[in-house]
Amino acid sequence: MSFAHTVLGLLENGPAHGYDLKRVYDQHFGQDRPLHYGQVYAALARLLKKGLIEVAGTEQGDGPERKRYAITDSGVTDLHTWLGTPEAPQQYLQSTLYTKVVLALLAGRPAADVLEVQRSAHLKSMRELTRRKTEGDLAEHLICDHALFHLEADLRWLELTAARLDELATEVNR
Amino acid sequence: MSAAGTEAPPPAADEALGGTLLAARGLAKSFGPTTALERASFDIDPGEMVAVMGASGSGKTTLLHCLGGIIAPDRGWILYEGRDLGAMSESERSGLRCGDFGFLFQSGGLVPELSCLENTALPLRLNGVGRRTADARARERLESLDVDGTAHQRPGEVSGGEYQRVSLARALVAEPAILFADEPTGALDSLNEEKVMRLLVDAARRSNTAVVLVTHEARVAAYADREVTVRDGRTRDLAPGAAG
Amino acid sequence: MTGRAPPPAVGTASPAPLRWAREIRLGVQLSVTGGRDAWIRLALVASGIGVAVAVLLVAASWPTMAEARQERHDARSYELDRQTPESTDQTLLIAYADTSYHGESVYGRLLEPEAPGAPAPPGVTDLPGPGEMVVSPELKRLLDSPEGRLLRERLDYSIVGTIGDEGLVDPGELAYYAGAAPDLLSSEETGRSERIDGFGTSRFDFPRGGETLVLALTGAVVALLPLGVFVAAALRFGADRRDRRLAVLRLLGADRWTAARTACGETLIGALVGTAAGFALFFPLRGLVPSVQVGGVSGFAADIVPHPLLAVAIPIGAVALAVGVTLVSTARAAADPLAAARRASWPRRRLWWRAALLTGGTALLLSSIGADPGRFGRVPETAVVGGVLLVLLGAGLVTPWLFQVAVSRARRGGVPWLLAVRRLQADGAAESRAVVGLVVIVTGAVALQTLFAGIQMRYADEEPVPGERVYRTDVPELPPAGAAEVAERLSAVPQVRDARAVVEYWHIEGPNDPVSLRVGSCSALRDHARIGECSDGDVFAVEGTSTRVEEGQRLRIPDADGAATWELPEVKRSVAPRDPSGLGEDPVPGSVLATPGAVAGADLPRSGVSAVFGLDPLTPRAVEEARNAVAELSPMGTTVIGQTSDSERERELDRIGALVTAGVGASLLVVGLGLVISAVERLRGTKRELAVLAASGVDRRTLALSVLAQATIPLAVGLAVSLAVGVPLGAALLRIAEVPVAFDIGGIAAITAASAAVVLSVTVLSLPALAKAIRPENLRAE
Ligand SMILES: Nc1ncnc2c1ncn2[C@@H]1O[C@H](COP(=O)(O)OP(=O)(O)O)[C@@H](O)[C@H]1O
Ligand SMILES: [Mg+2]
Repeated sequence: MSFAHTVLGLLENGPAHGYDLKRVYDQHFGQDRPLHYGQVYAALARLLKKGLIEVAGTEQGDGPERKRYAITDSGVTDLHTWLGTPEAPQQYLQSTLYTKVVLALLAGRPAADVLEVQRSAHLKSMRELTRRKTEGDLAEHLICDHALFHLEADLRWLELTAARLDELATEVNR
Repeated sequence: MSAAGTEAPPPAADEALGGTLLAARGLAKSFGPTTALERASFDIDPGEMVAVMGASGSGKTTLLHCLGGIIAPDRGWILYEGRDLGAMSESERSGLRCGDFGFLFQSGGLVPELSCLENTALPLRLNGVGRRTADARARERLESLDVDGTAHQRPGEVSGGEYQRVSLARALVAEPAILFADEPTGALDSLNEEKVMRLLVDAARRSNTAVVLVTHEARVAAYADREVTVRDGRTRDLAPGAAG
Repeated sequence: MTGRAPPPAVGTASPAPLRWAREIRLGVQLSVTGGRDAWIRLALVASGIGVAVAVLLVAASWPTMAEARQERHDARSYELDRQTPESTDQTLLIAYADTSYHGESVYGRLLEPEAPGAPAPPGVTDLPGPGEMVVSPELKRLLDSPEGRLLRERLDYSIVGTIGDEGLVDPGELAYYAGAAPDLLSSEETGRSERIDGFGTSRFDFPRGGETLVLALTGAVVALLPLGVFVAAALRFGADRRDRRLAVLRLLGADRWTAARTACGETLIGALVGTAAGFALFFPLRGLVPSVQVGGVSGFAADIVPHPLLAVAIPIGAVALAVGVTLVSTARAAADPLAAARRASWPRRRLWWRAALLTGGTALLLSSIGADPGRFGRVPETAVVGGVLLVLLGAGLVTPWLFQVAVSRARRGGVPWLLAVRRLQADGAAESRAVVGLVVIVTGAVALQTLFAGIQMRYADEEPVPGERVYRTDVPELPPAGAAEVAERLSAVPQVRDARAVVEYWHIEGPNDPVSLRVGSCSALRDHARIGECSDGDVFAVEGTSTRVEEGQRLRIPDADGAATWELPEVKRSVAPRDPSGLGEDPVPGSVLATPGAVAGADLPRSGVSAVFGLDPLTPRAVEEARNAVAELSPMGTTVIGQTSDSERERELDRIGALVTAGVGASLLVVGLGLVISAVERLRGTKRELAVLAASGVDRRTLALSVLAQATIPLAVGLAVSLAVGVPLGAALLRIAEVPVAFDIGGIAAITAASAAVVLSVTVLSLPALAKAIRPENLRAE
């Protein structure tokens, strides 16, 4: 739902064409991969159906006909609610990595290697993010920081788990 | 420092370890019953920045002290530009630390009675640079680290972030070939940590200074080109392909 | 639970005194459980205060000791101006028989009991019989030793007993009472001996000891300045940690007074232990006093009893002072806990009032120079003493200001210098205190040394040359022919040159006024006047006397049994007087010089013989041999050197000089110790910074040099001020005493060298702490 909410948020600044929305989105959030135009229209269609936005008019340019979309009152309310609701923290018990470690321990494989490889990968991407943030502008910087802090949290978990592997092994194999 | 022991003696200077600036093999160091280092190895190229990571108590600081010539390892050898640190006299090592190496520690280290400018100029003056020249260069350094406002303040009167930046200025003012930094941001908040790290990286890159960055924080280590992890006194190189 | 319940806050539950006691106890606990540092500080504070208290107690005993000496002196004296009592079965004849031996004076009396019930002097149980003597323990020791051989020859009596302590002024006194040969004393009536019926004189009631006490205490206070510096330094030992501890207490919610009381508790224990140690130290010190002569004066251990008021005031004062210093020095940490860690710079020192003291003192001294007291006139004492004290105090107080200026102006110089100067600038309180103590002591010492140098130069000028006839002896009770006998006996001593003697008659009744008469050979008379041609039988009148002496006058010479008379024969001529030994004797009104032939028929009575002679080679031994020769003629004979017994005066000067040197040495030592403590404390306080510097390649030499500079700067400033003030001060004192100004370059060089030695020692003693501070371990965060 969050992508649709992003589109809704962008429309709160004023009515816009689908193409404009893609451009603005890419500018702010699209560093990883640019948005497909189709994704935007899919989201817009869903929002229209829920009555959160409406078509504010059509413009006839030299190209095809372009619709302008505007946020509705219920759209504003919905956006407000979304912004005010915290994201459910991801339960680490369900994380893939945990699953992998437990599977490795169950199978008697070197679980430490799983963690080490993961740590290495984490560090690598952190280095990459750090490089990007030092070269980029403030927006880039903030986004990278966000990712970095998350990766760091994972990394802490990795280190802690590595330190407790023996404990975990006895527990899992009981 | 003794190069004797199980390790091979240091290679002759001309059989060069490639372009390696500083190389160490088989370092071991014990403090009484505590073994702080055991068969640790390390390499760093000119201008390279290597993070030394590891849990607290794993021997990072001991490794840094050995590499920087502050303490002598019980076993193993360290070559700096082909010169064996273990074969040097204490005063030669002192001279090396004063000229070719720079040091940055977690906290403290600025002489409390000297102004920040005088602190920064200290290494230059120890190297025989005249007072005026030393002050001018120190001031430039402080400016480049954006702390020239503290020039006439005492270290006790500046904030933690400024303190570390002045310390950084002092460590870099003599343009060392290697900067040894031990948890340089350990006492700082995230914002100041970032400021100091970016300035450190910038300055090191600009002057092609190699950096040995000891830290237990991944966020800080991520500024480096690669990591070396110390675990129970042994080093593990995490750089892909170089892993041992 | 009625009314409002008090909040259950810490420490408000019990009444204030109880709570305070608890807080002080907490401080006491902290001070002894604070690890090695706490113990070291406790030991330092206690020993500093201990020595100070002991010294003060001795000083406070000074008046008692002086009083006791005076009492014993009075007890063995006898009234001289009283009517001589009749000879009874309770009377004793006593005669003055003091002598000197190698510059030490020997108290001596000849005794002859007129009956078994005759009184004995204090300390003597049985009167010595003829040919016997009782001696003081110190004289006995001297007579028994090889050095005393010549004196043994002189005091040729058998020793039959010892004089008890109550008969001696001080334990080191040389004294004897000898039984006179039969009829030696009884035959004499003209003043050498006395008939007494008891010992002891009553003194005028002097105001008791007030001035002595003030003087002794002033001296003690000056002597204690370095100790104060030391204690202040000791109190600072570990002060960083204590400040932090106080800050923690404050942050935990203690109010400023609670924190202050806790700090006092920490000091209190040191002060109390120190005071106890001081009293404990006093007793052995007291036993030591008889063997040391302070300024030539010593006393019996039993006399050394502190003035009761002071014995109470001293410990209270010591504790109060220590607590006061603590309150002042912890005020900042207690008031502003968060700032305790930050080092603030000094308050600015003001010059004007410090300079005013110096100027005032100088003005007082200068005004005394103009006073022209005359040779034996009174120096304006109050002005001089006040001036000296003001100058010393002013010099001491100007120094911190100068120190501050010197330190803040110093910009040039290498890294060690920079480090030292900045460190002193940031916190030079300990050093500045040390400098004040040093300046007061050393300035005083330099002034004294200059004074001595001048006085000694003056005596050096007057030292007799070998052969110069400046020695003079007086032998009582000899017949007119005795003059030749004395001259002959003296000439028999190998080194005696040109011994000539005359018999002297004073207070001869002439027709108008009393006149004096000297009888001797022509050559002997030439000592007394320019008589020109002379042969036996001639009589000369001395010129320039108001009383006329003419032929045919009848002179009446009093005697034990009436009087002899002599009619003046033809007076050859009037002659100009001469001073035989340059003693500056006033010309006697109406003086007659006669050769033995001229008085042959007069049957003159016995009288005193005065001889003048020289010594060549001039050795101390020759002086003693001459004295022995005189003693053979009469036990009451005296031999004196020209104007005064020089060696004795010199000895006294040397002794005071040695005392000053010892004082300067001791204060330099104590100041040095204080500097060591603060240097070590500073090194320990900044060990992290030092370790980082060392790790960054600052070599040990640079750091050691900065420690050296740090000790040198305060001492150099102090010494400079001391010399700049002390030398002119000494010169001014010499001017006041009207002695030509001379400088003791050697003494000044010695003080400078000693200071340099102290600086070096401070540095050397700080080196282990430096080595410890720069260890790589200190790089680790605490
Ligand atoms: N001077 C020393 N004396 C005693 N033990 C020491 C000393 N220096 C380090 N150690 C010990 O050596 C081990 C490694 O310490 P260190 O190198 O400081 O680790 P790190 O910097 O990774 O935290 C620790 O167990 C530490 O207690
Ligand atoms: Mg460490």
